[in-house]
Amino acid sequence: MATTVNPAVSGVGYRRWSFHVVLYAAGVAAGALVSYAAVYAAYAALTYRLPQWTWLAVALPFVALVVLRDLGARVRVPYPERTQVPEWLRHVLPPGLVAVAYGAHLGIGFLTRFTYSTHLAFVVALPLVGSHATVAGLVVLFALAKTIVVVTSLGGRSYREFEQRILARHRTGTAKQTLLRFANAAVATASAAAVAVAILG
Amino acid sequence: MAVDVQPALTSPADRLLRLAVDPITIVAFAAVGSAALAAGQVGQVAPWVALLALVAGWSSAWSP
Repeated sequence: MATTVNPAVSGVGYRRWSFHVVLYAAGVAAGALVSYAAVYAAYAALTYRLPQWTWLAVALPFVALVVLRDLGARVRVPYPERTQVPEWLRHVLPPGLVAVAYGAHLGIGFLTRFTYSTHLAFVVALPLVGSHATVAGLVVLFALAKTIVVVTSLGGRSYREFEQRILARHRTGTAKQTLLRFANAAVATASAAAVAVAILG
Repeated sequence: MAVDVQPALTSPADRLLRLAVDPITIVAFAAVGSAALAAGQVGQVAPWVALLALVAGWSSAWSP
């Protein structure tokens, strides 16, 4: 898990851990750019001769599928839902490279279970932004937001203390997590509608 | 000797870090952000994608 980018797990000091956090964020950004490259290639191939709105016609049904999943419907989504970042990497790579590898894995997004409808909507909307420079800025925003959980997992130098703090900070009820899924579904839906209106103009 | 970390779990830093990752905090941000963009009748794509980026990234602290 990304929370293992942590001094209590790697044994490094806080200064080096701060560097690992930067490496993790860079990994997330790189992974997100890989997803963008794949999606942009599909978008460019589709819209080479067809109008831009055809991309919405192709992408939005997938977003709707994951929105329904967020709302509790039992639907199958087109990416793995029960995998985690490869834990064995922590035993073969130094902590800095683990941070980059975990970041990249999670930045790609569709290789693990931690993906809401907003993530899919984010990726399929990127080709519509119209500027690679702006896309780069948006990817950095995504990477920074995804790094929050790493920073908030900081909990002392002993593993026992880290574990207790993680359990305390992530102690929450099912209702809150359900509300979060619904909020993601609402934001994905609202954003998809706004983007569609902007494109169809 | 076992280290008693219970007092540390209620320190101001712990409370702040817990608030930063609380689902309600993320939901509140998503609601305010969406309302602000909708009220401002933002017609460009990038601001909405920025909202998606922030909500998606922040929400990933929790498993869907």
